[in-house]
Amino acid sequence: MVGCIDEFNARQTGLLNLITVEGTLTDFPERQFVSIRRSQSLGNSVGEISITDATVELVANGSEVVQLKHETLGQYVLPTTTKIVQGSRYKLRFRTKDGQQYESDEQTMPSSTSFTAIRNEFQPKAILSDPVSNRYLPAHNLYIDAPDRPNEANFYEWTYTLWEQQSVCATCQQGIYNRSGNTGNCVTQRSLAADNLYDYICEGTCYDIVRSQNIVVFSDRLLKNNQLINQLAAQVPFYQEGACLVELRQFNLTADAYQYRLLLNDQVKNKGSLADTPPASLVGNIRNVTNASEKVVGHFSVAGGYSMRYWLDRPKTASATSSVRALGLLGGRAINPEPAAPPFRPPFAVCVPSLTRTPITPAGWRN
Amino acid sequence: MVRDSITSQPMPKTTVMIGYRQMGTTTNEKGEYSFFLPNGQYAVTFRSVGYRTIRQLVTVANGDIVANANLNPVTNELEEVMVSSKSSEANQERPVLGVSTLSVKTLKKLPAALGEVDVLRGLQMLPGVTSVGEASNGVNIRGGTTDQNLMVIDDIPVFNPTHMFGLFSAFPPDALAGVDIYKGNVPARFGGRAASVIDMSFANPSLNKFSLKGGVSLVSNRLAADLPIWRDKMGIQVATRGAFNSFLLPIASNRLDDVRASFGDVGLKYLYRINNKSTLSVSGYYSTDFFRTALLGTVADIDAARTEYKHQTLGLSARYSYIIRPNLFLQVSAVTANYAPTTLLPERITDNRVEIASSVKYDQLRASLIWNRGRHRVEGGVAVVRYGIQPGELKPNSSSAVIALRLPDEAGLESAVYVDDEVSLSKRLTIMLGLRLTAFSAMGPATVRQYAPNEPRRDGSVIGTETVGDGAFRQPYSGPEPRFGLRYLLAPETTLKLGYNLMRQYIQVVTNTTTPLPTARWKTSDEFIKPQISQLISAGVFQNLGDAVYDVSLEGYYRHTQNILEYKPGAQFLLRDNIETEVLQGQNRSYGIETMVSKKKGELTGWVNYTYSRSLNQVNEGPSAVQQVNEGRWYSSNYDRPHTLNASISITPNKVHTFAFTFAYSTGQPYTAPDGPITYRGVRYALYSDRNNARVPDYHRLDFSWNIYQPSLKEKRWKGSWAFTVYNLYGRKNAYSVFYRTVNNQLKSYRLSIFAAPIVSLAYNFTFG
Repeated sequence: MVGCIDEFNARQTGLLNLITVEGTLTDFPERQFVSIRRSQSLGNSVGEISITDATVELVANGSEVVQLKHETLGQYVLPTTTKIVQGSRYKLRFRTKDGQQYESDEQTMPSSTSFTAIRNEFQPKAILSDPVSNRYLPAHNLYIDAPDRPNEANFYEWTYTLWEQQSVCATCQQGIYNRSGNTGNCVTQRSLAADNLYDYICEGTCYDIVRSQNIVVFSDRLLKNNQLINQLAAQVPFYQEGACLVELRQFNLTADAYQYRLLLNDQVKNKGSLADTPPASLVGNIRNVTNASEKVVGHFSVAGGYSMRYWLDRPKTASATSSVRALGLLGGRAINPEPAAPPFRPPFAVCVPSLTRTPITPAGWRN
Repeated sequence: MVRDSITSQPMPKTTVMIGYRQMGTTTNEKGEYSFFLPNGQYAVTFRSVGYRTIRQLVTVANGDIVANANLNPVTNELEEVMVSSKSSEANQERPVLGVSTLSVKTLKKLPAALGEVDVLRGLQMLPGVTSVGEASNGVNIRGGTTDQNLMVIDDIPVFNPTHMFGLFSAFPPDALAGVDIYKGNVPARFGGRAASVIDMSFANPSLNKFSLKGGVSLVSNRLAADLPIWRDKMGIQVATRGAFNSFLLPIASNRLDDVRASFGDVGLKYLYRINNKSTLSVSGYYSTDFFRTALLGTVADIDAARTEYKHQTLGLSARYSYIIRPNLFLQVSAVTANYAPTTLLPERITDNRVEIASSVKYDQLRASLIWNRGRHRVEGGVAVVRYGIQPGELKPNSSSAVIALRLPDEAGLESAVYVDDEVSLSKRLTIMLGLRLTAFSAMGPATVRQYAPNEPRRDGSVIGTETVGDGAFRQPYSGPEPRFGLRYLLAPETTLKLGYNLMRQYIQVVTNTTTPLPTARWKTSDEFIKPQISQLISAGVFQNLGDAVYDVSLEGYYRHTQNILEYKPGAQFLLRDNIETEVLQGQNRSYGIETMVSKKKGELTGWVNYTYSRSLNQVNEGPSAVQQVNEGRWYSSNYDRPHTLNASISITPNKVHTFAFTFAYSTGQPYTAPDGPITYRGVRYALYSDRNNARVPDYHRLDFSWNIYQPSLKEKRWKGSWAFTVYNLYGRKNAYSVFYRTVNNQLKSYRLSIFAAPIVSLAYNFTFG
């Protein structure tokens, strides 16, 4: 048996033109939004276009109506004064500019449950990163213990946010970094090779923010003693040998939110084997009120949340990790600084805040 | 001098050649020839149309040498074909039209993957038989699903016909005597499945001669013994096969370093000739498998490091035959079989394995009478089958995280009365009329849900439940199954055949994978899942040419099946009660034209066949999107492969060597491709809409085998032979599947090939006795 997997230029373009909705509102005190987009053919490829001009409302308990306001990229944001309350019923409805009216099933906000211990275990082959070479990335598995509410069906999802200390704040391809005040930019240098990369060290502390890419969901229908023990909640890639900070979030989902994520997750796990669950269309809980035959993809739900920050002290597992190389934060590349030419070159780079980077030390970081 | 070996008549105009076309001549009217040659050794070839070519080694040393040859007419040879329609003589003996017989002896000469002689792969060389790829758990016959084939060995039903997830057939090749395939007319004694019958039989033990046979291949070790117990009265044949060589797999590819697999099977037949009138035979079949690989996904809601599969089949059948009068036979049989697949889930933290066990139990009693009278041959009988299904039991063993859970047992009773009559109306016309009356009901105890009418069946639409008592019938189904066959001799060598069949199926596999997993769930019909009803019309013309050396056939068929079972998007079957909420029923229509040319005799034998066929499904249970597949439109079934071409040639220049090539081509099987992207928490995923909306690339493959039989040519008790095989000679990377993954937030597509390079293997076989 000489099985093999290789990349294959299979069909990726469809003839679809349909609305997709992504929205899970939680009780975390942070920006709450739903995204409304259109998945459609864009010439030779298929892409997603943000719908920015819809009228979007949240209906609480059948009567209270709150308007969500478009901010960016099809994201409609809930006013900060509106809180999602456990036990209340919520429904999303929206009207597009062409007059089509959509609404979701009503969802009852589950109350959140906590979790206690977080343990970690190093796994040299944890996350499949490339089916062709059968390459698995090393990671730390994070396990939790958590009470499970008795006498009811409970559905969980876990996500994580990871802060890694980053020493390189800018990388220039065929160029060098120029500092101007509180910002900086790359200036092209034709004398350098087209694929030349120079890395510039951060001026102060800087943290990369990495969010989980996998879907981790669980239902308690086969769970013993109303107690989650050693439940795998996250796999944190082994980026570097230094310690890092992980915020682990636990969401209590509604039943159909769990089913929807399970469907998505089946696709993520797909390895082409005959044991694979074949892909399935993601018909969620949104429908066109005026035209029942229109297929709408996506899911709206509400989820109770609980979070905990965990200091992942990687050197503790040094014996296990000693033979495995860290992935690094530059995509596996070693740092290549611009050759030193004192007193001005190379300059330090600015840590520019973004969704994936911050100069602000996160709460819970230990020095 | 050259003579005909049968008539001893001299053969004129026979070509005689020295060496490789160095020199040649033809025989004269008296069959004589002569050459003038210098001293030395020469290869002499005698060749004449319609005769088996003979080669001789001749040494010339000072003087005249006589080299005579007796050529054997090809028409006098036994047919060397893997498949034959029953000859007309055989048809007189069995009230059947249009059965094909797979010759296991010929199958053994053909190239086999990894040296394992494989019945199911052999079947796929026939027109109308396809599969979903190299790892497929069964075959698809004329557009039917794998579970629509009734597969039996000596009446023992086979619920899982393969080892190692479909890579090998689960039948010990040394035990099999023959395989009959009924893909057109099905005799009334068979029933219970909608598409076809694959009827395998174990060889009868020898009652007077002890013998052993066996072999070793890269994959498995085999041993079979014929053990006469009481001369001419009683004997046993046992054939075993075991494969424990999975440690060799990483040598083939490092991808396989975590594969652990072992399998075994045993076939047993006991025969007792009680007296001149009565015979008792007992057959046993056992098959076991263990398979573990990282390619298998894990099970939702159970935290496990990986997934392992094991499954076992154990079946026994006993058959008593009694000759009441010279033209009246009674046959009574009892069959019991148990298929038990288990999923093993080793926990991450502990050494414990959580188990998900299930089983299918089958018990059958049957009695039949065969009566020959004048132009009639009548077979009639009764049969009762009890099905017992344990759909899933979660055994936590020492797990602290998982509960124990056992789904309610399911039971069903199927009964049938059947009769068919083959009537020879004239020398030219034979017809077969058959009728099978069947009845089935799922039985209690059960708690049956009631759903709101005109709503999709789901947990939320339950309006009540009803309790059915132990042994009570839940939902009876019954109906007639007419069978009709006609055979008409258009000309002495030209036959026309027509057929019509109706078959009802009360037990089926419920699956949401391309080919059923060994652990797939079996389900009998009940209040919600209606029996499948299939009707097939077929017609064919068969022509013998050249004194029956060649066979040409052309067949067409159309099949319509009601109540096929399809899964809903995102369906979950594992450890779920009330799976009627996860499935939909629809219809299938399949049609095709099959052509085949075979050369059955001579130094070169083989066949070529081409089939055009389609298999399309439609599922439209109601107006809601969750009651439909592909918005209720017709779509390709998983094994809809319109064009199929198979060719096989076998060259036997002498008794020592056989060379064989097989070539297979077919349109790639359908798969589901995404229709766009969807974003979830900033990560882009594939968005699927229509099922089976694309096809993998076309499949083609060439194999080669070279069999060497007893090179010394001396008659010994121990006879050894070697089989050298190259599977996938030109190393085509045939796609088993195409799949999509998100890598670095990019949607990428991949192709999985199972045998992606030429596979060379060597097997040694022996017989002793």
